[in-house]
Amino acid sequence: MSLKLLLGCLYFLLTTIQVCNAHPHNWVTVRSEFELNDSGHLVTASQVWRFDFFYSAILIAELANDWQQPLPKALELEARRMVTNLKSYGYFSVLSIGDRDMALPIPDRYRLQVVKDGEQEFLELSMHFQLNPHLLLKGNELIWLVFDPTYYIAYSHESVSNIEIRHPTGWQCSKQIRMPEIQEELIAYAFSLDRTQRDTDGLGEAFAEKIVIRCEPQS
Amino acid sequence: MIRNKSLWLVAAFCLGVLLVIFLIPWATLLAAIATLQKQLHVVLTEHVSQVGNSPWQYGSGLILVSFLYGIFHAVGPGHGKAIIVSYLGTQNQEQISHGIKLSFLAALLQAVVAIVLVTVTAQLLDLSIGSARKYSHNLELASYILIVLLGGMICLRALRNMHTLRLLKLKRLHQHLVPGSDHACDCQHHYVPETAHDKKQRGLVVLSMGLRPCTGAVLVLMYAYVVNVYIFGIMATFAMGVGTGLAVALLAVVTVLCRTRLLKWMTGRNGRSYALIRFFGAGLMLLGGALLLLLGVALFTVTDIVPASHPLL
Repeated sequence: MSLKLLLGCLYFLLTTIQVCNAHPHNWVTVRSEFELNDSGHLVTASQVWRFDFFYSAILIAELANDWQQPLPKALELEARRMVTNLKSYGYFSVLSIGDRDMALPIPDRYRLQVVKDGEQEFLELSMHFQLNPHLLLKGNELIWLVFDPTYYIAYSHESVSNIEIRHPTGWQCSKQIRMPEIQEELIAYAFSLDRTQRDTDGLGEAFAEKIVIRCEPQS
Repeated sequence: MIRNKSLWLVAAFCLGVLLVIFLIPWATLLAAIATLQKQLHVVLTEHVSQVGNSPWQYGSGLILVSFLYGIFHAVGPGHGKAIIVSYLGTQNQEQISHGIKLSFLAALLQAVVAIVLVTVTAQLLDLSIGSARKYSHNLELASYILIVLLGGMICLRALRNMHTLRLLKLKRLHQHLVPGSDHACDCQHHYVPETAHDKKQRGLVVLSMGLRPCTGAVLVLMYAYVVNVYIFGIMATFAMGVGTGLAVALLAVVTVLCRTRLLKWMTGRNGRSYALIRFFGAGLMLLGGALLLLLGVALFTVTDIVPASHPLL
């Protein structure tokens, strides 16, 4: 028992070192939009990732080198590469309704573009997901997490104004950003000794903010 | 009596460490660090963007911000700090001046590695965050191997010292190891002759701390290259190095002071306990070596040999 506790403490310390080494180096501001049909089913989810200025500037410079194409074509090719790569990571997104996780399908539309904000240019990746219209939001809580599992890039909606819900008339929705409870998450992670040490995919999730949406028809 | 005292002290120390781990509000602290880091990142970006238009105004600002970034970056936990604390906290021959030198040399090496890495990546290879990340990853692995080597070397040295002490005890000789010195020993060795081993050890400490470049510095350099102000990127990187060196040197000084205070207090007024001297000499050295060995192995184990390609890099 005491040996297990000792190993647990040691593993906790090592995980903490790993977490601290894995602090973010790039930042993404996320805008999310959800659409409900007339019967209150979730039909689409879309998100726009605005990369930070450093990342954007360096990647724009790289694109010309990498693809040897004019910028609009290079952006198109890069968007395809990113979306293809992201597929096996679930598009860095977790969607659940009423405690049921919903895997996101391949986006039916996606785009990488350069947008200007004042004098600065930013890269924005947008993805639009068409969902099976059987996800009833009425009476259920929608949980939405967007995160990089390695925490190399930190994702944040920053404010609820970056969450849009398109609902039928007569419905009312609430939206909330819940900040992560890191301490409990990390301790639980650190003490789960059955996990292999190479499994660091819990880190990004531990730092992920949680978007909580509730929609109900008004009586 | 002395043994009981030592056990109580070890227990109190362990309890203290556990209290620090569990009482620190990690969530608030890490959130504050992440916010501050992002803000510094934005300020750095603004300065690098403007430095081409107004080199004096933004160039000096960039160097100041980079210096602060270096200090801030070093304040949080990291493998370099773990090495310096484990090393200085357990190696009796190391003095404050050594700690300061090691900290600055490691920080400057880190800056030089970042500059060489980006210069080679940007000018000779393909300029990409992905490539820079891949090479940084390889250097990171190399630095972990060096920590293992350092730990192993210290362990061997400690075992050799313990063996020598055992022989001395058997012969009931209790004197300085310095030839020709036969005075009665109070074992508060203020001067310990420097050996080639010390220099090798220090070299390994500097390499294992400084071989891994700071990703923040790599990004600043790459961006400076993109906007054609590379020389300012290099200056900013050195400023970061000086900031990091300063913060780590402070930690090194505190570590050496704590070690010497603790040693003085534990050996008591007479300072003649052979058991304690042995424990705090070779025993502590062995503990430090083992800690570093463990740290190196653990860091190497949790890091993938082949860098996992990031879907967006």
